[in-house]
Amino acid sequence: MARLAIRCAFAAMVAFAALPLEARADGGAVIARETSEGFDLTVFAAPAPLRAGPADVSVLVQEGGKPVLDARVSVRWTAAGGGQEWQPPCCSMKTDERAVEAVLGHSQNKILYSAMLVVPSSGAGKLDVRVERGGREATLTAGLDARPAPSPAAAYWPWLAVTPAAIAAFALNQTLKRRKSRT
Amino acid sequence: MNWELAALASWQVEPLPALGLVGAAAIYLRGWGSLRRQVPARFPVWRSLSFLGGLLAVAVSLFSPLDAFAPVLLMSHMVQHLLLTMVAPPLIWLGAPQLPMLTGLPRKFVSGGLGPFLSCRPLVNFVHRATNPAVAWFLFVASNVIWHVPEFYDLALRSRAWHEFEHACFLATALLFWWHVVQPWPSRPAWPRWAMIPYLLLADLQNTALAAFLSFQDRVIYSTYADAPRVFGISALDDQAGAGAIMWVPGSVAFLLPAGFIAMSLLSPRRGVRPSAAGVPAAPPAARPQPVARKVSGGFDLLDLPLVGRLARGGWFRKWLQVLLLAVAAVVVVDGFFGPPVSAMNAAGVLPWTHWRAFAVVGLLVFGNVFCMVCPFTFVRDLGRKLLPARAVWPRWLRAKWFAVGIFVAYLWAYEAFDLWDRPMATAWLVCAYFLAAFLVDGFFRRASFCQYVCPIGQFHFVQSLVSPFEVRVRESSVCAGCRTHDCLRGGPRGRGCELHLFQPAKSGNMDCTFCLDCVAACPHDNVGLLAVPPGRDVINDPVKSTVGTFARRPDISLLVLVLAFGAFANAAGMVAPVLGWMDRLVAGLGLRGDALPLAAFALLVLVALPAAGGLAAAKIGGGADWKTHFGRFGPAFAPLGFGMWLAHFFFHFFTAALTPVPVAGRILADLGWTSAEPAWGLSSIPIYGLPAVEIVFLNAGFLACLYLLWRVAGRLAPARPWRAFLPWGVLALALYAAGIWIIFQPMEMRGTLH
Repeated sequence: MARLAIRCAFAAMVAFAALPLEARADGGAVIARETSEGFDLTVFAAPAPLRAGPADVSVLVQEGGKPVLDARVSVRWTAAGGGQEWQPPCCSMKTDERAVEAVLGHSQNKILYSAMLVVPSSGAGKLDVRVERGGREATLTAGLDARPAPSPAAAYWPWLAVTPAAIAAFALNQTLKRRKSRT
Repeated sequence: MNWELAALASWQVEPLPALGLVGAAAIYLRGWGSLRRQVPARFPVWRSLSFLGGLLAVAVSLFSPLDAFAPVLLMSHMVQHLLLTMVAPPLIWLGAPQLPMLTGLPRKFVSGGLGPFLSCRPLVNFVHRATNPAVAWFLFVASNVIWHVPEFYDLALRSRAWHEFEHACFLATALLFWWHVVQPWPSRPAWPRWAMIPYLLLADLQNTALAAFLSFQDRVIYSTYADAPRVFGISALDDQAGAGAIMWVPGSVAFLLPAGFIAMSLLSPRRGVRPSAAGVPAAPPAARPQPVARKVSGGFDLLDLPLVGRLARGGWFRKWLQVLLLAVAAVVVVDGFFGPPVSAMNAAGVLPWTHWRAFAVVGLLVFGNVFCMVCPFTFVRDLGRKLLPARAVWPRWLRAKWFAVGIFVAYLWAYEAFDLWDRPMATAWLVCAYFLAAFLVDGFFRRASFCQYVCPIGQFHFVQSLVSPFEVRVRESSVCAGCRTHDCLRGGPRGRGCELHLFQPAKSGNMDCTFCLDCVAACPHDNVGLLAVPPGRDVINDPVKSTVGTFARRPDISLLVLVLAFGAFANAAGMVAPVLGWMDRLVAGLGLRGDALPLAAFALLVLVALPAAGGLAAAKIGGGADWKTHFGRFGPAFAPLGFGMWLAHFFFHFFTAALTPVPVAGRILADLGWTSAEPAWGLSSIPIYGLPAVEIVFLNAGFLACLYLLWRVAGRLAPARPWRAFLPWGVLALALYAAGIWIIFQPMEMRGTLH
């Protein structure tokens, strides 16, 4: 039974590890703040500064210092053009410019409205945030500069480094074994 | 929900750290349970609770609202750091985890994997020096001071990667620091016990200085918090002072409490008794832990599980699943012929090419040849046997896998040349042709000729199940030694025998096994099970595998595996923008009307010429005169590499079009007049931006498994000079792996969705 338990635990762990690594907003750094229509709007982004490619964008909506949790929030990135177009890796999604609804619960911090926004190219652009609540509509527009996307190798280096690290560890293991067997 | 409750609900579990914590807990508990049975006095329950409490503290610091609010509230961030540096490490060491962790890991891994490192003198000396109390103290304090420098602190708050590195620094240095304070059994103290008192007090001095600096500043030190919105109505300066107070008071308690405890234990009258972990009196002398006696058996048998075993044994359950798949196939055919010609709107465009392939490879990964087990073609094969003579013997010259290689290459070529994935009607014709072929082949030929020699899906599953964790095999070979009826092969009163003529006592591995479990039902001794086996064992050992023989004498199987491995990469490459652009330019340059011809040339080159030439060259270079054996033995080691790429590829399609059956089902219901609701065509997938990382993980795992198998096979074939045999094949695997990484990083054509 102990072996069965450990196998089940192992299977559960593998299944858990195979969970889709859905990107989510974690707050990131503050990239814009503004007061509009009585709402204090703070926009966080990760990565900050923005880069071409997918970006976590989160919005904190406050009124009278208290977070507001019943608003409708959308974010949109509009590129001014002229930058280098982002080449997505094979599994990235759409890159068209359109407003994305930011929702509560998408990020770990449940008082933030968050969405995954695709910045289709580097260079100048503007981030529009629109907040609707109780017939009021607040907007925030921030002119930002998106840096070029990192190369895939730079973006995924921790995953790529696993292979040479494992090979090095195995090679060392075999060398030590061989040395021990000689002595 | 009000915002305070929402704030408290800000929990999110990160898969990778959670996997590490759950894994550590599972390994510890397994080892602790085993050791407790032998030396209960040394491993009381409180030790396990302490260890689990330490892991829990790490989990709370990483997954709780403390982490969620760290970017906006310094106090939250401070508590998070205190959990990592002051709470989790001492609790973990109080669990005395060294022996439980070593005992909890598989014995082979400890002796063969960790053993050489644990006994390597230079490594042991380095670790000994690096873990000296003075070094540990310095690293702990340095980490604490450096990370509180505003530039570094703000950097960690801006970048998630740096934040994780900061946490890793805190936890690692704190583990080193607290090791000497707790001195978990059976470690020996490097310094006298009394030295831990100044060790702790000096650390507290530094902590107090830093806390006072934070508390008494009249400006906000960290710009991130100066810019952050004030969520809880606390000003940034008050937040900073509060964080300083948290660092000061609970932080000091964490240092002073064990210092006092150690002082008291040294001054107590029972000083003669050597205190062990954190001053806890040493347990009475106990017997030296003995190696755990392990039950020697045929391994874990899936059929022993109460519910799963009954379901798997019951022929009705398999029949039911086959009926279910037959019904799905019928839907695919009908919708393919009569539904809309857009693949993303048609069951024939969505179910076979997106979902079925993903489920089949997951089945192979966690179980075995699950598709053949529930194959819907079984019914027409049985029907063919009833209606047609079924007496001919499959021609001897077609029995090797050369024929299967040809069919598989033709199948991959047709998939791209006729855009099967994009043409529901062509898919429906293909399924019909499959049914007809199964009906005719098994209607005219004896046994399961269709499965064994013709079906390309079957060949795919035979090969990929070489790395599956389960195998249909005998439980106790001694039982078979006394058997005279051989019902598992010939059949008997309990059921028919193996259609593929695999004799269970001589069978090893999953090659040519359809997991039909007929042998399980037929065996009068109930001696055939679904046993867990180390994946790839047969590739290394290459025993005689019933009618399959040995790999060394089966170059056809070796080539089939290589073709499937190369096919995985070619199939994925056929969807990426640079390859599609190159193909378009080639077609335009040659003035052709379609790409069928260049694709045929491409298929012959990549699926036949390259694997054959690469394999033969590697075998000649590494094996010399014995190249035939090398070709036969090394080729099957490529199964995990191909499987890794198939997994990556199919998972991509699955996750990018996971929800497409919902609108397709809605459309079919609307076509039947059962609903008037408009199908939700916008529903295709949940955006998962981490998929490339998942794909790389699959490919990495396949590549590493392939290299391991190649190395082990090289060790068997050329024990004196394994490098020479290994290198050419290793280079071939590396070339495929590099191609796979390149493919993953390319923009890929979206298939099976409307976007």
